[in-house]
Amino acid sequence: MLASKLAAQRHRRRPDFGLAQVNIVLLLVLFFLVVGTIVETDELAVDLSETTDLPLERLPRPLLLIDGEGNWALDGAAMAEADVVEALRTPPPEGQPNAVYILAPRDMPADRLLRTMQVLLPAGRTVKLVTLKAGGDE
Amino acid sequence: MSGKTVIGGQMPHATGLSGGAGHTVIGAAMPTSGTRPGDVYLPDPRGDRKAPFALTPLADVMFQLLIFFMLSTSLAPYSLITLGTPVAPTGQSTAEPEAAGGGAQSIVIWHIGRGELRAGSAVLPLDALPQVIPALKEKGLEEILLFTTPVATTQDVATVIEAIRVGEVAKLRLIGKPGL
Repeated sequence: MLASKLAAQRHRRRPDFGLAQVNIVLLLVLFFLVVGTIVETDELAVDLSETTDLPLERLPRPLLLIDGEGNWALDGAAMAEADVVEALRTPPPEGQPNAVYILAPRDMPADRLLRTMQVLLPAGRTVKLVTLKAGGDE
Repeated sequence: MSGKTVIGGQMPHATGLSGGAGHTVIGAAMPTSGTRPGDVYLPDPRGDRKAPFALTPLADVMFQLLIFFMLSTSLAPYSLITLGTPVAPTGQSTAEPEAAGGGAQSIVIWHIGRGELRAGSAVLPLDALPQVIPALKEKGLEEILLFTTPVATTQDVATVIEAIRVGEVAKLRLIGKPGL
């Protein structure tokens, strides 16, 4: 009788799905880390211009948000134009491109966009416009 | 006493089993402390295994990380358009500077309007640019001077610059209204 109990215990080991579960969740975490970009909700408030054929990029920093009223916010902090230029004169951290990225509404007058360039370029940084990649033909 | 099965009770006639002084031991060595006379020790059929590593707290932490990243990240696909570089003299060229001795061979001047492009007397919809630019490149197009009009929007500028980028035109100058 004792032997039969011991034999029963030997076969009672159930499969452990915990490790597989952790592996899947870890892969999901890595996925969101790689493809995602941490943004503030305010930075998504404007309807960006759309492009279809340009390559995808991560949303980098510093981000200059220009809202519909023409107010500027650098990385979420509302600033005057002169303060933005002064902040951008500081060299970027090691390994980051020397650029500033503009989030502007798609219906903003182009003249205002060019004026923004004129204001920002003396800061010594490349000016880039952030666009949303719309569904292409593929 | 870990790893040993203890069966309480006296076994005075344990024939065939080793033991002594009132103890009956089957299989393995008996612990030296915490025993009572008459205890019977059986080896654990699973062997001397340590306590298994608890995966549940790890899974909990991973789920919390996953929820954090799911809520705080944006999967919106972004693209970048270079509008200007600080090395350009006027700050409005978006292309590489010309090589020494190489002048622009063919320049076109475009005016961006609302959803359309004016080139001289011709007016083109912006949708036609992907077909127009390769044809102009075959004729030697090297530089585009791009003027904006008051009705042009940021979307119009982005559409034109995208078409120029895809068409691999060597040089582009984006020019706004003077005195902006």
